[in-house]
Amino acid sequence: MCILQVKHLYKKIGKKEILKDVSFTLDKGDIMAFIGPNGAGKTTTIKCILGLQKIRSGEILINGYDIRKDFVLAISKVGAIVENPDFYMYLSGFDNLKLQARMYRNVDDSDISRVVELVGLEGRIHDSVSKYSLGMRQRLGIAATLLSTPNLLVLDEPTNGLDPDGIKDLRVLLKRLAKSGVAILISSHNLSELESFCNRVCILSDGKILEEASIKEVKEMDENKYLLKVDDSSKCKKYLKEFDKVVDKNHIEVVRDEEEIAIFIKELVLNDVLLYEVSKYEMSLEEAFMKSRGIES
Amino acid sequence: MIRLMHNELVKLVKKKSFYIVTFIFVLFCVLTNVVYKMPLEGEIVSVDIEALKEENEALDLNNSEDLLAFVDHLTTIKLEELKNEYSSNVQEYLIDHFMYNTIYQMYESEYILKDQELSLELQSEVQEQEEHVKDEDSTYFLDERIHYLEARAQDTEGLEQARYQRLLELANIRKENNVSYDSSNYLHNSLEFLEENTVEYMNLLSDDDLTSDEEKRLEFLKEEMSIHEYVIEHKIDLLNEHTLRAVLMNFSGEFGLFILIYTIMIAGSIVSEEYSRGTIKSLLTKPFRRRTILTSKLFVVLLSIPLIMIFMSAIEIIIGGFILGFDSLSVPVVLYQNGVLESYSVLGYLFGLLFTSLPMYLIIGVFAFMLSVVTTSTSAAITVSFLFYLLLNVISNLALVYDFWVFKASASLYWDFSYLVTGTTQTFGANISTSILVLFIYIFVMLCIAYVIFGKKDVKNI
Repeated sequence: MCILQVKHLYKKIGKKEILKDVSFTLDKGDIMAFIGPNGAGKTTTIKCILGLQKIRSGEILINGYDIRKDFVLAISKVGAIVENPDFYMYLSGFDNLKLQARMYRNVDDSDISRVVELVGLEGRIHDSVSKYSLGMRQRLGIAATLLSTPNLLVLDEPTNGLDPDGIKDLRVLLKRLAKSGVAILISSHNLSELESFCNRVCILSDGKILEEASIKEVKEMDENKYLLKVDDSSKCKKYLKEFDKVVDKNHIEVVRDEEEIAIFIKELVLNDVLLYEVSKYEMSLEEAFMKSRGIES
Repeated sequence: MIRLMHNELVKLVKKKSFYIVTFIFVLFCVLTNVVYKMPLEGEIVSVDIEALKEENEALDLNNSEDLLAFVDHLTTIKLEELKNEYSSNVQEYLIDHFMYNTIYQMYESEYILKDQELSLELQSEVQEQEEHVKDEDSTYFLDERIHYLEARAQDTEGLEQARYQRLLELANIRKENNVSYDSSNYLHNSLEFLEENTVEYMNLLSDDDLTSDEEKRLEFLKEEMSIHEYVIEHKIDLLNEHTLRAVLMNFSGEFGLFILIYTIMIAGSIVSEEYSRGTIKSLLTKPFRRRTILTSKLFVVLLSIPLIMIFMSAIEIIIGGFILGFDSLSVPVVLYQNGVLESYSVLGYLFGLLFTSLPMYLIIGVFAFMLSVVTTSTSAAITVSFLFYLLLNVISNLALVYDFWVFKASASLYWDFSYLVTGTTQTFGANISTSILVLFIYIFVMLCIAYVIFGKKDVKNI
């Protein structure tokens, strides 16, 4: 089931076109990595989705409701952190959650303790937020988004300030939420952190969508690349093709599909090259992203 | 909506700035009450006796002008010497008011008339008076005065007679109520006011051809005298300035600035602070329309103004009560309205004053609220709102002098309704319905701007 549909989004700020024909969809259980360099329009897109900024043209549907025409219905099942987890610093974490809880029907104190427990802030929840670290504020922010049991989570850079444990916890939490049917949109520039638990990726650059696909697809878009450890790289030179290269004395890098690599290995072995190791490059999301940028430039 | 307003109140009440202003207000409140408690020292004109004596030595007693000055100085010296010796309230009053003539006549007979016999007679009279002053014997002087006034009232006729009769009446009231000449006694003060102003009042009253200044003076005397008469008739200390009641009656004057500070602080930050904190994003992604969110904030601002007034009054009553005592709260406020005296309870009067000053704070509050939305900058909203208030006040002062149509559009000409309570007239001559209409237009326009802008504003990067 389609939870979020973004269709042909255009947005102009001043004379600058910030978003150009941005479209993507998010289904139940999807975790989408929304990535792109600084200034690509990630946060602007998120703000448009949440109705914080007006769009010039295009359409955004959340749970089937147009964010512009049926704002209240569209937003009611959305939990969001935009830019930073912002709180009333002079209030305690609990009071902040209480303020947010009051803005929903059917959210009470038991929901507050539930989400506090989910993000592991039980010990410090009654301290004033001004005493929280950025990581703790991030946790509190995530807790706040979960108060109303949303089916769409929009998280802008949620890993900012989290320690490795916090990131791990978040990963586990988000995976669990996705399993229960929540669609999650995460923007980040820290791509390697998202890779391990996102199943979709949307790459935005200069206001345009470059790739919108599943993680597997993105990675498979590249040709297969292999790294081989040999006794002496120079002996292999004559067998290399256009895109292959010598990495160092013992390593070469070649681009072959599955059929070709088998033949290549055989060729090396038959020509007295000692072959110690063959490994296939797993292209990281980051590389996929860089590659998309490369194509663009 | 109620939930949103609840949230806004929580945010407001827990804010640090609220406590800081309240702390300063409490301090200010204590100081104000202490100032009220302190006795108002009249100007003490200390006479340099030695200097007068020296001056006298230099005078040429053959010169008639010098001679008059000589006698005058002698009289002053004698009065001062007596006052140095007898320095209680009553004694000083008696010396100043009853002995001056006798002493002057005594020196006059000795140096100008050169009548030895008369001089001796007056000398013994002065000594006799001095004895009575020593005993603080108000009755003696009062009886003398009654005696004198009775004689005058019989000897004169017409207006003059009426004046003496009125003074005699006052003297008899003093006697009946046994009011000594003690300036710390409020009955004495009221009687003294009446005694001092009766002649002028009756003269003005009988004059058919008054200038406008004289008419104003007459109106003033009429009002003041009727209040002093009320004091004497009801034996209520209405004019005591050293009471909690007096502070409360001047509440707007003493603490109005704080109401303004609270109002502008709340209204000027309620929207813009959400922007500067970034919490606006969380607020606007909740299932409420933007106008609902803005309305809840507006209602909290509007509600907070009277709440702040009640809060401040309560603090003042508690602090003032401890410093000045609570008993004055039972003394009514008596106002001269349309030629008659009306009496109100102190708290009722305070409530009336605060209620009629609400429109002004409302205009300033809505202005600050609008700026808070438009600029999303708390400091800009607060500063400009104060400037707006000052500007409108300057305009209303100018409007008193210059009849310029632009000035007529200033809200400050219409926002003061306190005349309805104090029984005076509207300073700028506007009637109630015009005032309400003008203020309504102001509020309507400012709110339209606020709602349109808040509804359309993109939340920029914070």
